[in-house]
Amino acid sequence: MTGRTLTGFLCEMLAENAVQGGLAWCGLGQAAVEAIREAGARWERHTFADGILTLVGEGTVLRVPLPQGQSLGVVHGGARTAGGLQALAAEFGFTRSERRRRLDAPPEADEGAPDEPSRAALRVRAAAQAAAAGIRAVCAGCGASLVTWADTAARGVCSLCGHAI
Amino acid sequence: MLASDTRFPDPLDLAVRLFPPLGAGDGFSEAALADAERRLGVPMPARLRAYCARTGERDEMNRTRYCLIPPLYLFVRDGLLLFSTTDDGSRYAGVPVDAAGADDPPVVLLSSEGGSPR
Repeated sequence: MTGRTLTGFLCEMLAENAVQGGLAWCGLGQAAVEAIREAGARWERHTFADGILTLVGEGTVLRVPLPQGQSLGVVHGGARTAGGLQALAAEFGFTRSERRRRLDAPPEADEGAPDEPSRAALRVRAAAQAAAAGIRAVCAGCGASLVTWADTAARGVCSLCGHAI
Repeated sequence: MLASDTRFPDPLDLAVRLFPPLGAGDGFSEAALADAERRLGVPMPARLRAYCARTGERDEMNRTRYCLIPPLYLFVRDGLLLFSTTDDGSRYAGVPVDAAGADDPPVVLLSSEGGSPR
């Protein structure tokens, strides 16, 4: 490929590294070419010398190898936050995607933590499993045992779920 | 064909937008860059030098797919100052030594087995 300049190469490097695990959240999917064509003004568009269309937003990047005569294109996306990647996927209508958090990035509140009903169900199941295994459960809420949670009895509440003993 | 902006952003601006903030210790040290230039006998292009001095130590932006080569390991081959490699070492990128003084010199890609990869 000809016409690669230092500026273009450094931008290409940054964008590619961003979507290949550099940004805390990265994803892969297929997006409609039409959606990319109609992307709003908040996106800067660049085609670097590698021939890959790059859309740059605030803390967000999308890389699309320009498809020829196809309605769907493979996209690699990256964002600083889980919400950012979710918005990216929603805006471009990823038909399927795989999203992952960089290993050293901190977890986020919107990452998919179970809600209270789900946690309650998990606690009930853990208590049932403890009972089935013959473990004397100290906490009726989650099945925690004295062996596992040494300070549970001293504190008067379960260290695992906060349930009063 | 999908439309694109014709001008590329400044790489440092792009780095700040994608990976904020840039801190004082995020770049290669001035001493390391100067040592490399002395060892090679070639000045680094001003734009590359500025980029390295501000961001060189940040792995997430400079060492996932394309890897910026640290000053100690910069080298010259076939008239090119090679400053970047892919993570699998299959390709290198460099600027022609005789164009290193240009504002925005061309970048040439080499495969690790020699010759142009494309």
